Amino acid sequence: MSIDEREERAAEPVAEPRAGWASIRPLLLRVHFYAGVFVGPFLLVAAITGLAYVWAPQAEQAVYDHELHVPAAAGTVPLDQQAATARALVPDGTLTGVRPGPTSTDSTQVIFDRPGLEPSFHWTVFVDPHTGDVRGQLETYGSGQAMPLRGWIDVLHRSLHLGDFGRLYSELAASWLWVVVLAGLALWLGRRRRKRASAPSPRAKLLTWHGRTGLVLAIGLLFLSATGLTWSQYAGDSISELRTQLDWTTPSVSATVPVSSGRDVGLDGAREATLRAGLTGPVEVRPPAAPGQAYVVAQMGRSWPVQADSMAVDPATGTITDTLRFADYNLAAKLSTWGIDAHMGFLFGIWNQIVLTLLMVALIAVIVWGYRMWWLRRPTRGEARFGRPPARGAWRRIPGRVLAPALVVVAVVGYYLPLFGLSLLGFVLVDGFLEVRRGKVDA
Amino acid sequence: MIAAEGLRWILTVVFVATGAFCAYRCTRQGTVAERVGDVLHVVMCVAMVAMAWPVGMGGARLPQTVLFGLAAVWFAGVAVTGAAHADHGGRRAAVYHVVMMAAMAWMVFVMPRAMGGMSGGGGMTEMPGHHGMAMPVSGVGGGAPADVRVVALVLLAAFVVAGLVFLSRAFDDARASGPPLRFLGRGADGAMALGMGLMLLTMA
Repeated sequence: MSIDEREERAAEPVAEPRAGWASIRPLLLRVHFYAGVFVGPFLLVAAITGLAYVWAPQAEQAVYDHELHVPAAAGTVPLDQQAATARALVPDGTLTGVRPGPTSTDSTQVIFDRPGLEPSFHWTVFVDPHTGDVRGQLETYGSGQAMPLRGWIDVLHRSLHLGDFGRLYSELAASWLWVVVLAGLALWLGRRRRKRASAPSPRAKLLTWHGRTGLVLAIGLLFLSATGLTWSQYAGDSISELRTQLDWTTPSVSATVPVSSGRDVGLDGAREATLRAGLTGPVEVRPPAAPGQAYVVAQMGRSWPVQADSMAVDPATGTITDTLRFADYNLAAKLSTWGIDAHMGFLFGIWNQIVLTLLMVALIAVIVWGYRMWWLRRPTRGEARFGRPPARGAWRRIPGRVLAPALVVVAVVGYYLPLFGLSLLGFVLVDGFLEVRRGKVDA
Repeated sequence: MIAAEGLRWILTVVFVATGAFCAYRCTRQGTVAERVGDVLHVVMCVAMVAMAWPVGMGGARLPQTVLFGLAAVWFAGVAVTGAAHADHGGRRAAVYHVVMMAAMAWMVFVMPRAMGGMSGGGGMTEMPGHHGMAMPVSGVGGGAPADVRVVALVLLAAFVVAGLVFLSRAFDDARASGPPLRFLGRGADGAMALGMGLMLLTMA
């Protein structure tokens, strides 16, 4: 979103292509400007809601203190008994998992799937593990068992509570963020080769802040863009498909066991078997979904070093039938897990939250400075109310040997990131139409 | 056959557009040799569209293989005699079209073998520790036979390079305000080459 006068003059279309940076810069400038203006509002919303989400875990510990925490005491009621107590309160629910409290002051979370709940939402009954008393019932969200407050902020960040249509906003932001960042980075690094002769104007100072801050943020923003895309509706599907084709999928523990009737070791038996096998830390015990299925006990630790091992336990014998170690995940699956946890602020605890906060605040500043620069460029006389955008026809200055591969790369990326591709195509069509119309008016 | 519906439509649009252009050019200009070349391009585009769709997989293989084999011979003759003008790419483009038509004949011939190795399905599983984030589990078929994949990869590389060269020249011609049919022709050649590359990618 930053243009200076020299660049603007340089962007006037000419017939002869120039080689190297001089030919590419006007196009990058145009891309950075329009993409920035276009996705700026979406990025602002994502940054503000993301900022709220980062600190939501601390907020929910306070808001839902009664449900989440219990007085420390000796003795523990068996998990099966706690689950039975909860099950009596949710007759229409299907038990999907039980999370024993990781410390003596945490409640047990008994998780149900219930008719009428949105995808990824659960119904959770909180039980005091020392007394077996129910502390409360809440609708929870996702694998992190987000309480209603965090779940609400999560959905706001993801879709603005507008369903699948709302998810387009975050996908657009993530799809264009890396383009804006890379174009901005190239412009800034290219610009640094020059030296200014005169004292900088207020707009030039703003440009310096915009550019330098953007430079510092670049890696973090590229990371957020990449990880955000894995959650997105359409690009996320493409990424999943690509991972399948490259055999980079996240493995899962095999829960198939021989069908048997009679004895069932129960939730406690499954938990104890895995504890003996070394599966410690916060876990979720999932009961067999059907005959011939095992109990699955999965670690839920999301901070570094990630604890995501899982084991399957035969309900009849209590023996461990399969073990999946996080260490045995393929690199892509590990990167995906680490990336998701870092994006959500869980991977490195409070430091992760602080870094994300700084990143979001700085991003908001960079966007506001960008719009401010555009505002400062507006003509003070005449009818025009906005700063003049970079001139059309920048692509004509690029030699075919550069433009052709670039076009193919953009087409491939546009295929895998459909919202990026379609919005770019829409822009090109509108821009081309306006150019043709202007040509007719001039003629 | 292209399994991904989006990609199938993209290929269809590319080959319908380029086929339409070749048909138009055939009616507007060119020597007999060039017009025959255009007709062969139209036939190739129709075959490519058919190849992209499941319904088109039922077509007789042998006649198509023979047809595209003869088309390769035709372009070889054009290359030797120099019967194509600059607007049609001249001698070098004729040599390229020999490779393209031969590749078409090969693709049609090996397609059943290539498709036979691509059966198999994948399932979806939830990411451990991340509910709501479904990730597909691996379950892809064994892929096309090794010999098909090797040839497809070599041809893929060749067509991508050719496509980029054609597109690059099309852009430079368009900028230099050359005859529209010339730069559009090169653009169409580039699009067809990249379309061929896409089809080969599914076999590699």
